[in-house]
Amino acid sequence: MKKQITKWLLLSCFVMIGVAGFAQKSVSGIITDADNGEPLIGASILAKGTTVGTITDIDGSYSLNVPEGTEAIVVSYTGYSDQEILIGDRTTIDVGLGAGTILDEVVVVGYGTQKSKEITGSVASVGEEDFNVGNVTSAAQLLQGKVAGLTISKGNGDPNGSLGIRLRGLSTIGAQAEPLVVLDGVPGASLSNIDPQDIASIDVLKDGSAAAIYGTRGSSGVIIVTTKKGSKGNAKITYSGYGSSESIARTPAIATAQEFRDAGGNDAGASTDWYKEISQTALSQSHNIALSGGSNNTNYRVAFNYRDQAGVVKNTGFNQLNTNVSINQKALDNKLNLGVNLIVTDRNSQLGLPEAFRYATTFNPTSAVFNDDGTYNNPSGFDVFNPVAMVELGELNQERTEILANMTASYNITPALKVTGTYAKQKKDTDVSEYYPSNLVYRNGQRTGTARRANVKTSNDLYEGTLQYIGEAGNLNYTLLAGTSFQKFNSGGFIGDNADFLLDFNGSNQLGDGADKNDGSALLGSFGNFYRLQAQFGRVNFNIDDTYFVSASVRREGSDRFGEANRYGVFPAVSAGVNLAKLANLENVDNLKLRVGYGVTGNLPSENYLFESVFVQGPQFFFNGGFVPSYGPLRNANPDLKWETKKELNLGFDFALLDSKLNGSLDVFNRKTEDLILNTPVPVPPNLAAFTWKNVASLTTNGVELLLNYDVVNNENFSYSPTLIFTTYKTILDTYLEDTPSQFITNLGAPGQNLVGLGLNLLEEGKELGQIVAPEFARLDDLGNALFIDQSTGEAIEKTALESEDWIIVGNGLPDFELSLNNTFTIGNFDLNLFFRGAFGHSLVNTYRAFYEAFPDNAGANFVRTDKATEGLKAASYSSEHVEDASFVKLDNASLGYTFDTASSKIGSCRLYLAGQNLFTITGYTGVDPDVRLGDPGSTDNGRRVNGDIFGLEGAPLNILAPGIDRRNTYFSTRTVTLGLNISF
Amino acid sequence: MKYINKILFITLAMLAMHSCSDLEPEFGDVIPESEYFANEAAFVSALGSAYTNLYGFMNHGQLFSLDVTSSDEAAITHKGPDWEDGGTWLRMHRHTFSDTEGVFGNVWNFCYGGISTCNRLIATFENAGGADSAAFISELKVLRAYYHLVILDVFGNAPILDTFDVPEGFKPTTVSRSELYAWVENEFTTNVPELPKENSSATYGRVNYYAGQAMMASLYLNAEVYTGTAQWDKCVAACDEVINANAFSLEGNYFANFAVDNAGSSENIWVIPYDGVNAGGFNLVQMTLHYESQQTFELVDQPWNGYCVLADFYNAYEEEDVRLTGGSRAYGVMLSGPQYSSSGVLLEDGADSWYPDNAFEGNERAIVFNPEINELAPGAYRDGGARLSKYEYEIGSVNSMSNDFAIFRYGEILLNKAEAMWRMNNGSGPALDMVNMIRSRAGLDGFAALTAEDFLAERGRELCFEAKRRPDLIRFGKWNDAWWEKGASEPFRSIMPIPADQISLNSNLVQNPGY
Repeated sequence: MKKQITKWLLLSCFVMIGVAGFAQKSVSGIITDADNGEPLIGASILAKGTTVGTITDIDGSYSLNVPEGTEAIVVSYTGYSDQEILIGDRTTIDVGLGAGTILDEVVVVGYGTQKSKEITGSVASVGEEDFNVGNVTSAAQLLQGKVAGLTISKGNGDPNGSLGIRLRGLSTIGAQAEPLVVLDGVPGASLSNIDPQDIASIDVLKDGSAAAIYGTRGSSGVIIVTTKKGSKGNAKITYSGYGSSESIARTPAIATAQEFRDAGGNDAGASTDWYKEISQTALSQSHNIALSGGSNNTNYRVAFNYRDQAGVVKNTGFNQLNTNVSINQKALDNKLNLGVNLIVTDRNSQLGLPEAFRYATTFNPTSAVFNDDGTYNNPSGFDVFNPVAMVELGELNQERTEILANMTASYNITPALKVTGTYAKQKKDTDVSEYYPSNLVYRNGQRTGTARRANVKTSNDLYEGTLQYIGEAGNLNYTLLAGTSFQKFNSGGFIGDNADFLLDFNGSNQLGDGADKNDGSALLGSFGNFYRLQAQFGRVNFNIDDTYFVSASVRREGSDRFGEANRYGVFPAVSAGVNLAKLANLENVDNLKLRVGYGVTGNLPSENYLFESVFVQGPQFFFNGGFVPSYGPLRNANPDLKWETKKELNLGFDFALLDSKLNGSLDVFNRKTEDLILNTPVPVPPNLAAFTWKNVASLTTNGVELLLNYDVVNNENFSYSPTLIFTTYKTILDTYLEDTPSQFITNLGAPGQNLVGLGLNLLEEGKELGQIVAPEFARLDDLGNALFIDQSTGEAIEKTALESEDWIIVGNGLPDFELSLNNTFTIGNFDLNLFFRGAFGHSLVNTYRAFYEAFPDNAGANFVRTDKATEGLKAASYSSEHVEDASFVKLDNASLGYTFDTASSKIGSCRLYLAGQNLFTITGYTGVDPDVRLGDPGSTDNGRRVNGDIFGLEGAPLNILAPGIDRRNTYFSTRTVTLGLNISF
Repeated sequence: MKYINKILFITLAMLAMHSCSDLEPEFGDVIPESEYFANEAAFVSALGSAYTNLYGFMNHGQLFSLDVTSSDEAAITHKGPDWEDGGTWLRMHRHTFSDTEGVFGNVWNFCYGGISTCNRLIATFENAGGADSAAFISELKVLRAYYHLVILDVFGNAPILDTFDVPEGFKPTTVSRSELYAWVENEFTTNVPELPKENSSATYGRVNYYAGQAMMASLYLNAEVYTGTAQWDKCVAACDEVINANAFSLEGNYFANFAVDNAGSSENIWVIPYDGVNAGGFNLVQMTLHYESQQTFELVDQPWNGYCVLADFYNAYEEEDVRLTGGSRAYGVMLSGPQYSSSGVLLEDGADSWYPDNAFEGNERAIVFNPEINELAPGAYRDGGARLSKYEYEIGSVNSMSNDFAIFRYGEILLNKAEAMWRMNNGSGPALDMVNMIRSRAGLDGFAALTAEDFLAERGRELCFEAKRRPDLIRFGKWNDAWWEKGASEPFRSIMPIPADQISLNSNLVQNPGY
């Protein structure tokens, strides 16, 4: 290693000396928007009368070696007026460009930037001004509804819950279904390590041709996050802060104590509103202070973010500190640019027990919270838990620390040729502590106190190097890029649990004190594993006369998640565009670009070592009078496992009409994923286990995306500009598992609705993903039991007589289309934004109704009563009645802001705003939240943990093949009102 | 040119930085097979996986469930919405099951998973060589034959799998039941004599010579069902190998065989050595007891209230039968009547309303395990039916019981031999004596003579909940009879269907007739 470092140093010196010997005049500076001082990324700087030029980087800065004798530079940026500036003796030239009509913006693509007019793939950019506002605690929330083709959905109000992100539907099943996040150039970054306040812009690479530069991880799209940076000028202090108030938006319709009595339920003598007892009005606050500034050679930004977020369930929420430091320094005649970025997040969460909602729904409303002696009232019974005891006694806390340290060095060997090297390290440390004290029945049963501690560390190291050459020949401008990338991922963890404590006093802080460890029934475990990615890539971009654009890229990538023969995959892409407005002089057409792109991307298996036969310890085995561990294969190995690949064709139009008042883009795509990596049933015998990870199945998705923006009015005192976004896609399962053309998946759960051999969702070859199935409800029999239609005879039969053919498709969990409409008004100093979001045509399985609609005689549990309920139903039994259309329109986000006139004061800018989130919903759905459920967390019954959730860190792994199930443990969604202030000095 | 060189250098340097990785995987928390067999203990632990597969036997939805719910011993009633589970347990009880019932797939995978593991280990030990390996190989071959015996009994016509080294994409082919029988018999006769004639803690839980003979006794007892040709004399011979070894004897206390700590039973021949901590899977405590029984036995987790004994099965016991009364134990093989907490408080069902007629001393909510069940579905009372309590419930039990489960015990060998002799027209004398030994231990008078009805009933009372009832009913020609909430079933129902999933995965499998 030492030898290598020495080699590096020598080499670097050699390069620097070599370049310094090349005498030229060097000019550098920053190009900004003259109006607001914001840096312009990708502005072009040309030595006048030559072909020597460059473009500005992400900070708006540039450095250009002009040939001797050059008198001036020409600075141009689309949408701004060109400027020609005499050089004279200066080496530093900063330019403020005056805005013209902004047609184009610069877009961050993988490993570089491109002008939007040159983009030939399908790429969407969202700037800070378009982000959602209010109590926004995660980066994904900023984008909800803002990008055509990007579905972001939560469907619950859990402050610690994560959002589901899906770009153009599902293009994988067993691998990574969420887009790759690239944070300031670091692929595989964690969105949770970036405070939304620090984000400057987000670019989304949607199609295969755009994403292919990220090869193996681009199949589900790429989200590129660019953080705010300092710029040259006076040091600036910016404060952004808000306070918000959050309350439950909607609950299932359950009977009140009086209604329960009137209906003949078992009267326990009290009246309790269980929802009210477990919930609260959640008050939250957020403060962000950013210090930024810069000189000719340096710029910096330091941000400090604090959030204190409460949930509407008592004792849930988090508080978070986040610090983001970025410094850029130029040296060696501005040829060398060094950037250091450090982001640290420390978050303490109270995850709590949101399952309390489920038990609050069914708990007898005439039962008291407490017994006469002051203990919690917890009558015994199956799946009966006092929800107030759960939220007040149960402790489930998480501490998470995330670090991203990133250093990038670039060196302009010549003005046109730049070499860049990046090293980044990310680390995430998550610690969970749980304690269920002896007076809590939930998760304890007869144990006297149950505790758990778990810790998971994940980290990765990234090494990347690129070489970029920008050149031109005649009216051809071109950029060449070559690079290598290596990334190593580590993950490891520890878990221990124990029970039966003498006292509850120490909770999980004295894990060893529990008596369960004495007889060996306490749990102790750990894991640790590694994988690597190694890639070489290249890209060429051509711009011919600002009219024809071509881009081609290839990435060859290898991973040790595959056996030797299949380790490497090659992922090529090509795309082209033509600006028709340049070819023909069309009236009222300012821009009309036709794009077409084709790209191949890949996906990794979700686990390590699948190709190799590996042994792990199994249960104990009785040998010679005592137990010894048994060892055997973990699973069937598949040495032939290879990359999952996705091929995508994208056709798009970008247009600006009527003096650029009407802007928009239209994309049509077809993507096909083949060799999907799935845990596939295999015959037993001869296999050891019933499943093997194999390349099987294929998916096709076709979709259309439209973005339309129209400046209805735009003058000094009043403007109105609506933006419409439309998304539709369908994913067809072309082929499924070998010899398994169809399969029921997902289970309803206990009590009594474990669907053996059946399921709520049906996967079928040749059919859409997301199909929801149910037996068709016919009527009630004399005893109040549901009867169902026998699909072959049409007669009403008992549930147990139903065959799988009688389970019919009654809906789809994925919407037909999604629509959002953003309305921005400015009236003088006021700005008003109304953002509506809707999804149409999807269904949800209302599990609250499926379980709790029945009202048996002398009922001891409460029931859900909606106008959809069947009168007289005595025993719950899932049917077509419980699958509801969940089309909705929400006023998702509304804000009213006032910007103070600050020109005469020392204050740079000041804006006060009032924002509301989830203000109202129009829907026929009777459950908690009609929003799309992209995946299913599974059923959790009787206090059981979700399958696979042994470490309890990231919540339940979702079954992405089963959209559309509204589970009973859904954290009710909320309505939020926020008052905020942004001010800068 | 100068620059091109530099560029080349830089590029090379960047590549050099990465060349430290050849992408050979680093193994963290798993052991590649090639690295596993590092010492002798590793071979022993590898052998273990053939046995730990047996732990599935007593899981809900596995072999035990298949036997108990499809026979006249017990049923999983629909207690309102509870245990509806798509009707699968109803169909098992009524013999209207189809090839998609989950339990068939589970039992199939249990057996063939075990068979493949045996084959894998046989190959491993063949490669390793040595005397220890040879002993392990014989043991594994008999265990493999046992798994095939279960397949033969449950599914009838199914593949034989006798090697691990199969070509890519190999799909085994169904053979007829008689062909499977012949193969299993040959495996036993070849390999059982190689097993140790030792019954000690060293062989506890393992397949020894006597376990092998007990398997053979079971094979021959049902040979007529399997092949059409009876093998009563071979059954007697196999039983005699066990009986004459003087290694086993009837326990004076019947319940000693089913106690929490039953490792010392002189009667148990081959057990699954379950343990609440080390060897989980014996979940009967959860499967049958009422939610509230948690308080009776101070159970760590709430039971599931599923399996209920059928009234006719309950009533087949004479009142003074120790197996019913429990003798010196607090309860017999079935729990009935009002239920109390460990501190003596009458248990009540607080939740709702599925048992209003089952009052005790005027208390409608009292939990009374009434042997009479009001109906199978949908409105079975939550406390209807006696519960399975043959295996002692440990106070404070976790949901995996620590009682060892005897797959074969001496009492059954006596009954097997007696039946085989009786079938060969030796019904008096020794055969009658052996049956009466069993009855005498239960505190009952001996039979004067043996009838088919008495034989079946006595086997039922003695071997209840030991997963023997289904083959017994079939052998005595009663399997297809009507009983409570079940009509007469078609003769083909005595062989279970090949799981539909497997048929679709393997075109060389043939579905059994009728399905």
